[in-house]
Amino acid sequence: MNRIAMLGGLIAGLGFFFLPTLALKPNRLAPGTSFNLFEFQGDDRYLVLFVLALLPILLSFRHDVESRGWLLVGTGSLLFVLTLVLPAGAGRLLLETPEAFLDGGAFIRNPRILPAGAIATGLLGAYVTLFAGVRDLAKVEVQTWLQALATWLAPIVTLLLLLNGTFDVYSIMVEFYANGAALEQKFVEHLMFVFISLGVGFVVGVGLGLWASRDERLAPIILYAVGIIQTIPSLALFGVLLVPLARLGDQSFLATAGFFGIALVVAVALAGSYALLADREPGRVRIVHLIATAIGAAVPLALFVGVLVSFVFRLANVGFTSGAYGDTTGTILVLLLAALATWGVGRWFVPDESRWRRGLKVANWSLSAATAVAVVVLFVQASGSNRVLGGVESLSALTIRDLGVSGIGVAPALIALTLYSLLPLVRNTYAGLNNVDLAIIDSGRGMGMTPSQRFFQIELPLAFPVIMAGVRNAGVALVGIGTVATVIGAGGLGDFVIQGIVNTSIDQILLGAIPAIALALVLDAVLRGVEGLLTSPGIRQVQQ
Amino acid sequence: MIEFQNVVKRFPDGFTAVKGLNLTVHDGEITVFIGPSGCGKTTSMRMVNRLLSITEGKILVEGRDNRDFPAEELRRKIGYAIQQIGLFPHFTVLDNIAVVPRMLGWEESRIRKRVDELLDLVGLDPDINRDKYPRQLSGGQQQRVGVARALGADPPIMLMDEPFGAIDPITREVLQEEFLAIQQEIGKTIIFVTHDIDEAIKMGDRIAILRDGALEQYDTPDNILAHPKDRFVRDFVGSDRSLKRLGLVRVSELMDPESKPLVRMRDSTDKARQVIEEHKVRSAFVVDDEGVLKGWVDLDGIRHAPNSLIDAMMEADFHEIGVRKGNTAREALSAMVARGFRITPVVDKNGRLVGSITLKALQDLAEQEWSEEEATAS
Amino acid sequence: MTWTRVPGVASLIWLALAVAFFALQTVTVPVTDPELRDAVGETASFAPDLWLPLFSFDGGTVIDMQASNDVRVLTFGLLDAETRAVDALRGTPVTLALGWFAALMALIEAGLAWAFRDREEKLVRPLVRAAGIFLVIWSFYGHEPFWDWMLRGLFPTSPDLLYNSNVLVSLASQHLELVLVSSILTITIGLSLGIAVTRAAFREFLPLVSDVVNSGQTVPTLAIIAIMAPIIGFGFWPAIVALILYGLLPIVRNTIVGLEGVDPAMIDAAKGMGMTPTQILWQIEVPSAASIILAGVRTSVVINVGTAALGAFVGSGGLGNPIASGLNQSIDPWVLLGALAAALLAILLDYILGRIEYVMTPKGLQIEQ
Repeated sequence: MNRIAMLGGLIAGLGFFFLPTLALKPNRLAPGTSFNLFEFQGDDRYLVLFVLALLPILLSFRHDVESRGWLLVGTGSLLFVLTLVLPAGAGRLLLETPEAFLDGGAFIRNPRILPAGAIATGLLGAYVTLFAGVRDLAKVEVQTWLQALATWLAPIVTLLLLLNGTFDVYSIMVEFYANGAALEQKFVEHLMFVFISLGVGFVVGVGLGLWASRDERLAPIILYAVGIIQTIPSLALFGVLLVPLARLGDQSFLATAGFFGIALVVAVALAGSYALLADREPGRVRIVHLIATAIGAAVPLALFVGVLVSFVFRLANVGFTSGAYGDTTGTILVLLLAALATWGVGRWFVPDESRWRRGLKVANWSLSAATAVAVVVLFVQASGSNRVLGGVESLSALTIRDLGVSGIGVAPALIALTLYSLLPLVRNTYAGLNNVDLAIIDSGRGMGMTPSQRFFQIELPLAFPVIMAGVRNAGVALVGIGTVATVIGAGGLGDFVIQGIVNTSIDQILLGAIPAIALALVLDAVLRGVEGLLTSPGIRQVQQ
Repeated sequence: MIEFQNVVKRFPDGFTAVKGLNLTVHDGEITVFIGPSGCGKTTSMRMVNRLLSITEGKILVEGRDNRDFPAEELRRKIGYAIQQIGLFPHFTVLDNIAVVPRMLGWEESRIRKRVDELLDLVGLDPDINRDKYPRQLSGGQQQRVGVARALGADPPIMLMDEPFGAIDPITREVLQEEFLAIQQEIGKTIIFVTHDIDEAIKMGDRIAILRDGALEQYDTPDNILAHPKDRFVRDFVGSDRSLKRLGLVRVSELMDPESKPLVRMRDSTDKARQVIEEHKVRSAFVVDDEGVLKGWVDLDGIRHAPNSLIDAMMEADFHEIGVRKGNTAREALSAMVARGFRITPVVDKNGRLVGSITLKALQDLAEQEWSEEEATAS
Repeated sequence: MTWTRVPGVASLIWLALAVAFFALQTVTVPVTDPELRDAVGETASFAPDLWLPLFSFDGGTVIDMQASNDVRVLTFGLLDAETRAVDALRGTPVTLALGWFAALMALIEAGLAWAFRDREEKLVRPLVRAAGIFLVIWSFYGHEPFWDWMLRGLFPTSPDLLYNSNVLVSLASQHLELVLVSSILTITIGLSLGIAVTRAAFREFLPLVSDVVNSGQTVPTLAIIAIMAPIIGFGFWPAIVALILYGLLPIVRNTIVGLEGVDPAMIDAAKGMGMTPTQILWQIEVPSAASIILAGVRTSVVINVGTAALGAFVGSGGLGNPIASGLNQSIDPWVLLGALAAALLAILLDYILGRIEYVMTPKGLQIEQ
């Protein structure tokens, strides 16, 4: 017996029985009239859904696991697709004569069809049924590609139907067509939040993790500090950053640069004295010295990262989205693809001992370097634009605000997101490096590897999957937290969500939420893929 | 040649692990460092390739102070194998063995040839194992790769820290035998650390017994067993050291190649009785035309079946009743005790009878050892 | 042995604080906020009286939503309603000077130090101490003249300083209430679910639940809270539902990971000794998994503090209100008021739960770590 399938059938069946399937709204804002599956009178086709929903319950009693699995996969997939397709047909009928279904007094203008609860439970039930079926297939060890096909068939068909316009009748699609351009822009903004803060967070977080793994006295302090940041609610962190960033924005660039220089000198002095004296200091003095060193290092680091991340975002925003630098962005894309291609060819198609390998390696390195140079060129070009520095006349008149730092807007969002990415990155880097078997490092040492050889050839590759897991966690979290950035006027997909709340429009909320969820899932999958490609097969099998 | 000269190792916490060690490791020999835990055996070994720094004194490697070389360069010239094996799990077998050759800048083709050669040497099929990852190998196979890796760049010196310590007893014996065979071929200068006295006796050309960071006794296994310097060494090698010493002697050294009370299967029972009486033994060995041991016959048997030798003989496989020429005297003793024989046949690898060994011969050996000891004690 | 372990040091520190609070009470600061001036006069004492957390349990305020595209209308609507709901609370703190409270804490600490004089104790004293510190911070947070003075220093030119409705303590109470109610429900549901799917009877649902829990992580918190509003309505309960849904993920995940990670040999040994499944669960499995489960609870509660702040957008009240209104109307002091309090609340809860986590982990397992 397959009780998971039974659960799936129950969810879908009860949903279709008790919950409304569609709501017809006379206009964009007024509440609508709900329709149950059985209220689509005169057309028994819709009862197919109900039968399909209950079928998994019957199927779950079959004993032959393989046939049960395939039947469940079939039922689940069909239920998934039809739960979306059939009500869409009913919705079209409702829209043809909306006045027939609404109260006389309703103000009918651009009536809409809102998918209601039963569609959600239907999809959930279909998912559970599909899950049950695929589990059965896995149990009898059907080939993995068939399992994957069984899993992905329904979503792919749904996607094709979506592209075909089958679901255009639903209000969320109406909303999508109405806001298409804005959605694209918000999506790109959101993507840039995530990538830039994850990128900077990666450098800082992995750096801190490395530092922690090299100095066991420092490790608890670093981990504690990034842990505290994580506990602060996102809305509160945006708020806390507001005041200092607003103040920072008012400062002149030259004065800040001077302060940064002094802070840097102080930090280096503290770190240097710590490195020299720590072993000779009594315990408590050493701890104080250590904390002073950590704070001393944090000040210039925070300042630098804060300004850098804001300025890079501004440059990237102007460079990539203004459309004025098509040539350069095109070049970057071509170079990046070429670099990836040489890497891939070198990795999979050229045997180790081939003499082409060296050439490909050189090509790959030079293409990667060229990509980086092209990005720098783009940034230099973009920095000439008025949109970047706002037409500041002289260096002395330049303020930090001109570089993109301000109390509300993108700067606090990026900085907060960068801070949030630190905990998973630092913790995983630290754990990954610390968990490398000491015997392995010892044999590396015994064979005469230099410290850098040991780090790059042994420690880093072995810690890599753990570090990448941190990157994935951070990435997925950032996509979610990024939606909150809308409240400080930074934009992103959260804009739609907040608008949706104000308008009590679930369509708008979903218009922001679904791309965010999709982005998180895709980012997770892509990072998983990168992790898989770059992790040695020798340790990959243990990870699973 | 490796020479320890007044070597002292003191750790930052004040603990002195090695207190003035003086010792010469001879070329082409396996020198075993042994002692109870904390005696400084591993510490001493790790100072040779400078995984630990030397506090006082010096270590000469091939006549030069090992601090004259940069540490990494020194280590690349010294093979290193440890108990935890420490293979790099993210490298294939080939990449693992190639680590040092690659650091030394060998040609890729030369490296591949060398790797195949080494895999053959340690008894792994290169074609099957070259591209495997360590976790796809059994513990014993992993340690073979570990040894191959230590031999990667053909270093004249090897340091081995309990290399077979974490392996099950049966596989360990096999690996020990195999490694001894390899050493016959390659003749490296080896420092071998262990805490297992049986392993030390088996593997070592010389054994250095350490205690509390100082050298207690340094000699060949036979001499250490025969003449333990003091009570500590005597306790350490164990009260069964006579037996252990038998383990150092090969059957071929003790057997009597002339004393062969043997009859052929075609011979008559009278012939058999005659041979038994002639040799003043209780039974005679029966061989076939090839000289392969087939069983034995005694007077009882002849009495019960006086007409046919084949009927009278006790059939037995030579694996069961014979000992090989290459076995140790200890194994011969064990075989005799197990079967209640006073004499046991010695066969070659094809089962042909080549001689016999008597319980008396073994006893004589042990007695000689005791009397020697009494002589030294008094 | 650090200085905090020296008996009596904590009570001496409380005594010193008591003296400081009495001294501060004699210091008066000018009141600049006009509304506050009407309520308390030209000057006020710097140190507050003790405020106890007050729970209204009125379920926040339901707003009569009007069709509008403007976020401001929403938050202004909230403001008005909030003002009405909480005005009654103003000026009704417990009338105990904070100095006396600190003196009382000194006594309690001394008593505890004596009671636990010869054994190590890691739960009661830290929790009592944390509660004392919490009440002091809480009282300062609710003491409006204090904020008036602080914020005037930070924002000399800002026309508005204190949040309109101005009853900070009631906002914080609402926030705490949201977190506590949702956390209790979350922990109950999450633990039951996690335990259920690791029992033999429901084990087949384990992969399904793990799958849902892991992919649930990708849904943004703001989206969950937002989706609840049109479905259930605005106010306290939609926020609670959203908090439970999101808070469940770490608890269920950690309960599963913790229970699945218990050494099977241990369970086998327990079975061999004749323990019943219930005994095995409560005496073996749950204690072994306690630290992991409690880490999940801690994560969940801390996430809830953050999600509850977002509840301001669906009218559930709480500390998100001053932040949201301040951001909308560009009044930085309001944002700071809400943000500091929310951040402090999260850090404090995290600390307390961290203590509990540490203490509830069986001694034998602590040694390993």
